[in-house]
Amino acid sequence: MLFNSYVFCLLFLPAVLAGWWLLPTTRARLGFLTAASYFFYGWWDWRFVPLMLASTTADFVAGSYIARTSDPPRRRACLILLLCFNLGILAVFKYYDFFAGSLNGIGSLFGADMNLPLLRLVLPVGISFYTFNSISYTIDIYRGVLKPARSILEFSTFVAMFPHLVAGPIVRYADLAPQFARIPDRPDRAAWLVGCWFFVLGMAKKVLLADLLAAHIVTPLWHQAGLLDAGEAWLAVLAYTLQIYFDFSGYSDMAIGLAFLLGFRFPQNFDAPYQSANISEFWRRWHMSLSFWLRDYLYIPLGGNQGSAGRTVGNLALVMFLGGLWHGAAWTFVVWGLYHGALLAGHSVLRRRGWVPRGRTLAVACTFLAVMIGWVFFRAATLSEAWQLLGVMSGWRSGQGGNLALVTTPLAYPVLLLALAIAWFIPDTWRLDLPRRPLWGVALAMLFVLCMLRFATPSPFLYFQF
Amino acid sequence: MTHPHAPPDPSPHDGGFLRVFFAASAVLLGLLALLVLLTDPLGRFGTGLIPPVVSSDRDQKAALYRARTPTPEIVVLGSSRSKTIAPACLQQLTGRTAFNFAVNGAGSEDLVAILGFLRAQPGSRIRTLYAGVDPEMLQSAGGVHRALEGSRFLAGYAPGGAVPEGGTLGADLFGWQAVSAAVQSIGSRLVSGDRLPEFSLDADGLQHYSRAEAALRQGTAPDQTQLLGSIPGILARYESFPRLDSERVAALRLFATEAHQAGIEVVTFIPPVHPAFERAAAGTAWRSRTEETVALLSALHQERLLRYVEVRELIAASPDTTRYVDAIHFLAPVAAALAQALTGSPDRCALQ
Repeated sequence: MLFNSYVFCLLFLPAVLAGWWLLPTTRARLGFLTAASYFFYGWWDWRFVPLMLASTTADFVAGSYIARTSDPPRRRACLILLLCFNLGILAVFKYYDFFAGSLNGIGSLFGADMNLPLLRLVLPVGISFYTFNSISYTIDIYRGVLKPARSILEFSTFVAMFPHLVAGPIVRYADLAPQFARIPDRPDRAAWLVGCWFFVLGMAKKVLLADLLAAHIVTPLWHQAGLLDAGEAWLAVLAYTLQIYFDFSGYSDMAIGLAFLLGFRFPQNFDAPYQSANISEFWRRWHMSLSFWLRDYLYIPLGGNQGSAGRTVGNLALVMFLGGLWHGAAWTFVVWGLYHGALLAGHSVLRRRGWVPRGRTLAVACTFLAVMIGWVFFRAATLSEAWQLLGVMSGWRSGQGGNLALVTTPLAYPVLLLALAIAWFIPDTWRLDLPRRPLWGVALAMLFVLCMLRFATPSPFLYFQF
Repeated sequence: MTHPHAPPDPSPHDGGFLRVFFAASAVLLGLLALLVLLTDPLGRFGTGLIPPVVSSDRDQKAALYRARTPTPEIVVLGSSRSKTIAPACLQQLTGRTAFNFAVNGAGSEDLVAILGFLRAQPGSRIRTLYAGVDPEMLQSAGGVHRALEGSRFLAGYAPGGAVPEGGTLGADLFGWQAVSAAVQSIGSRLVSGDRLPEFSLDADGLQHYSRAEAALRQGTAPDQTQLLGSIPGILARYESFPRLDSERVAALRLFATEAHQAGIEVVTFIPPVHPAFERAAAGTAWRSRTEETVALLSALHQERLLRYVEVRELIAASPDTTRYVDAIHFLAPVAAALAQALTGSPDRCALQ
């Protein structure tokens, strides 16, 4: 079930909000929200509901055990066991075929017939997100910075809560624990107002910007990726750069808006990342919940930037390699991650020497360009397609051209310019001073209904595949 | 802890804003639903008070097909160039029930999708498909045709398509297709008053060029200047069409193979064009792509995946060659001759 669907907006959401706010006890409300979230998840594929249930139970049991055990080896053993369980699920469903296929390929290069069987399993929606949510819970308890959930019901609600379940933001139990302790009995009008704004603006980002760019520019041009000339290639990459931002930040805004409607606060996930003046700043403003997760649970434990310059570079490369792999089991994502690792390491070195652009405008343009080039790897179906496109973009190769006729409507160009202007010059939703006068309610309603007109064509969010 | 939002400060306007937002949303959605119910452009509710304009013909034809009883045994496929082939004519010549499922701007993936849709319908008993394959069906479009991608009934049957969701009530009441078709229908009614719409669809999928046909009935010949004037524009479209697209060729082969495996006879043809267009096209890309399409269909014919019937010369020699609405879209008399040629019937269709 998509947020941008009739069944969600007209049936599921009103029913859940009614149940949530009308049920008399906290226990009943949590139970209802958890059941509704499992229903929401099972709408895609009910076969994966037991998987999430097993993951939730294992994390809750492990967290409770670690919290009440004072023996360090046992605590560590339990944590390792739990990490193996969670990462094992990811490994089987998401990475096994990638590694087996890669090993088979490498083997054949050297004349060895590895012939490892491929499982060809369907990737459960949102598995990367809820696994990271759960892992942070257990690690935080192990570190002694978090008390375990008061009940498995509360913990299940945290893991399954439908606004963040399938594509984030990556919410930590530490974020929600204090909120679970003070769940409001009655809806707060101010929170609902902000929630409605976030939900509708996020929907507009997705449906009116990202989807239009995808349909009219990105899909037709990338379909002919091997035949594009330089101008067409740059247009295709620019359009995708904007599509992925408005698609994912739109989803995040909707998730945050839904949380407001339920009386919760989710962490911010975007902060106008294309206005960043360097790549380090970009990663503090793009998919912030993942960046901070990688920082807190990987980069800092590895030593962060406290060691030598070489160690810092190595840490950045490793973290971004894993970050790339988190997005998808393909070499394109690995190269994308390593590319960003190299950018971060390069920026770290340049900053230490004071070799960074002085003017902010130039710095923002350079950062945007670097990020754009990275998206080529992210979007390309294969590495060879990415190299081909980069070759054409850089002028090293020539493309056939003549593909602009595939841009299916002249409306695509104004939409592209509008999206670019918003990405460069408008603050992110959470920094906007959201209008509260009643007349603005009509404007927001019109925007909402305009978005709903486009629901008839199902359009999943790009990050659902991760 | 990351960066959760701070709770917003309450404002005296908040309650009013929320009341206005929810009331306005409900009113707007109610108005849209009323608009769609009044015109029923997709034929979903049986409440149409105004004749709908033809907009999203894929879904309109799918809805008409599902409502058809008895289930057709013959279906006409193709682009707008095949939309005037009368199912009633085919029924008269073959004795079998027929339906016209030709759609605007069809690509070969439309053939795959429509075949999938037809076979998935309860009680399907398709025996023969007459498919008008014009070269534009095989031109690269950068993936699946957008109109097909946006079709609620057919998108899921396109090559690589997702499982279809079918006609949901929400999409039928509030979807862009339904609402825009309703607005166009009302707009057309307001602007043209009692004038005939330019196009209309029969329940068997046959498209009428209502105004042009009315003019013919009154003995007024089609505007030859307008007809001939359309030729350069159509030929120019082909200049950026350097070769048949490999994916669309593969989709055509997939269509033929799936039909063959299902025991469905496929009869293909190149839809005829106005003789003046045929002459003007000599030596152009249109001619080259047409010959390549003929070669492709002939190869598939050789493989016994389908049957290719050459009808172009037959039509060019027909006395009805003036009966075109423009250079490439023919009207009923030509369609009748075409139906006779395709079915191999010695009789001539009496319906014109």
